[in-house]
Amino acid sequence: MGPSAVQRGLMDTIVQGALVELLQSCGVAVAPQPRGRMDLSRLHIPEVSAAINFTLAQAVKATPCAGRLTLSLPEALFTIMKAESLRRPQQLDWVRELTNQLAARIKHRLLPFGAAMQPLLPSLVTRDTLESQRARFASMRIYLGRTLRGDVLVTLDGTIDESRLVYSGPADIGNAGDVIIF
Amino acid sequence: MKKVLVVDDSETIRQHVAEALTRVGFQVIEASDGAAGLQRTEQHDFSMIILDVNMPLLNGLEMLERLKQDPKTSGIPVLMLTTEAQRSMIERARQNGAKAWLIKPIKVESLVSTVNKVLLQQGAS
Repeated sequence: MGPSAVQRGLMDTIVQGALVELLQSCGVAVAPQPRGRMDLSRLHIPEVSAAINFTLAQAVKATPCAGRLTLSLPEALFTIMKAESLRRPQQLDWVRELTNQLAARIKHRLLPFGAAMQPLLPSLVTRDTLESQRARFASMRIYLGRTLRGDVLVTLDGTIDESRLVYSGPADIGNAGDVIIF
Repeated sequence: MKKVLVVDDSETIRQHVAEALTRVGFQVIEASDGAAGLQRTEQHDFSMIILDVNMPLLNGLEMLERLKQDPKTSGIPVLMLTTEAQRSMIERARQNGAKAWLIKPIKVESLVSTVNKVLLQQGAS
C-alpha cells in the first residue's frame, strides 16, 4: 500500500491541520478529504500552483532527506479570499506566499516530534508540470481539500518515516500572528 | 513624512504592508530582497525597516547584521516579519538589534500598532 492509500496517520493530521489553518487565515473554510478514497488518475489539478523544496532530518544526527511540497488552488478561490489590501494581489505571487506559509506551518508542527524541516524558497509550477508527475502521485502523499470554490490540492514528496515521529515535548516556537517586541 | 522600507520577496506582503502604513501617514519604499533593500538604504533615510527572513540573494537576518554593522544604518529600528517562529532564530534577531518579531500572517492593526510602539520607544530612548 503506497503513501496515498494508507489510513490517516500523524503526517496527514499535520498537513491537513496546517492547510485548514492556512486557508482559515484567508477567510476560507476547507474540508480535508480522506486520503485513501481518492482516484489519483482522475484527480483534478487546480489552475494556480507553487512548490517549495525542503530537507527533513528526523533525528539530530540523521542525514536530511530532500522533499517537495506543492500547493494548487483553483482560480475561483482567489475571489473569496480575504485580502487585507485594496488592490487584489497577483494570484501567482499569492500562491507562492501561501505555499511558503504552509511549509512553515508544517515545519512548526513537526518540531515537537523531533523532525527538523528546512524549507527553501518557494517557486511557481505550471499545471502541466504537475500533470506530468501524475504517474508518481501514488508514491506521494496527496491531500485534497474541498472549498466552496473548488478543490485545493497539496502534494508532499519525500521520505517521511512516521514510525520515527515520536512526540518529544512542546517545541520552543511562536504562533502565527504573534507579535514579540524586544 | 516618515519613510519605512519594506523588504519581502512576496509582492502580496509588500502591498499589504505598504497599504496599511500609507493609510496611517507613512511613506513606504519597497524592495524584493536583502541586496535591493541595502541599496535602498543608500538612497533614502528611513525611520524604520521591516524585513522578511527567507529571501533570495541576502536573507533578512544577514541584512539585519549588515545594517547594524554600518554606522549610517545601525540606528534604524528593524522589525522582522516572517513565517519563521523558532525561538533560536528570534533570539538571534534580538541579539543583532531587531526591535520586534512578527509571525505571518499578521493582522493590519497589529502591524500598525507595533510600528507605532517601536517608533515611540525609539523616540523616547
